[in-house]
Amino acid sequence: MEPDVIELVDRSRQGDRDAFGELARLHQHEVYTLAVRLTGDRTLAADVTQEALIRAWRAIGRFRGDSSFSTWLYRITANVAWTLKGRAARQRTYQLDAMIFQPQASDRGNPEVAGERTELRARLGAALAELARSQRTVVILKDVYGWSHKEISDALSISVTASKVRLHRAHLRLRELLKEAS
Amino acid sequence: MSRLVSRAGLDRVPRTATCGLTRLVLHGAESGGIDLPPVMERHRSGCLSCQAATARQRRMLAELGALRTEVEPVPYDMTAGLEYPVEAGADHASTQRRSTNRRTTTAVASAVSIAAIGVVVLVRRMRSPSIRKPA
Repeated sequence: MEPDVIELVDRSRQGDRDAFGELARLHQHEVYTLAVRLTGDRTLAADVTQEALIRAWRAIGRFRGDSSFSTWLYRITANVAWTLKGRAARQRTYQLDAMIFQPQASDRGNPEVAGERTELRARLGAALAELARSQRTVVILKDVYGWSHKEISDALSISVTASKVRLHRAHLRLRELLKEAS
Repeated sequence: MSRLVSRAGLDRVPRTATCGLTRLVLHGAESGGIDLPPVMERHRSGCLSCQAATARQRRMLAELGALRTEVEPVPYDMTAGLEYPVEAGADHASTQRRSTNRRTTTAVASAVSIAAIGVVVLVRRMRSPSIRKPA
């Protein structure tokens, strides 16, 4: 953890609201990004972000620093997004594509590469949106955020085997969807 | 994953590998979950179709990984709405309170039950004659 973050976490644990507010401001974009990816809905993602921050404030006393603060906060976010599944299922308006369409800064020099990547990302975004929510969650946490199956199983309260099976099925489905789209 | 491999019969290490079998375990091998059996590795190295599938799989994983660096800006300051409805560490405190309340309730319920049983036994003894007449 960065020195500033360590100090802010220490102060937050002692009940310093300003310190926690600063921590929340530092991490809110990443928390919101994860929430958008997991829910596929920006409105719901905003709710998830706020709920995750409130839960983090409530539980900050139990944060022991075994992992970084951001990892701990992402775990809470994933858990909140998962528990709000009823609402997420009702509001199936996936806007994931818009985020994935944006070409990266490194591609701007080569329009051909940028075009290919944009196309692949568009297809990948559409394919991700087609996945079942349980499968999409595991793909995002494992392939995008690099979590281990153990971390995923802890955050989602599922077994490690279930996490592996969901990832396997998600990859098979993604491959099918990408093949259909090409 | 091992269960999947087992279900597919791949733990028996087939003598020959087909494209279908190889692709079934390809994603696990690419994401580091399992090792591709040598017979499948040999098949892949000689099969252009499986090599293309491997490349596609790697590209897909790379693109997914690249998403990590992209950050979606928040539509409004999420911390502005936080009014700290509870104190820090409230979860722990409320858990302790709940636990204490539950213990107290259990103790009171047990005491009341024992007292009730005692009263019933006492009343029965008082009502029943101490010396019964022979029938």
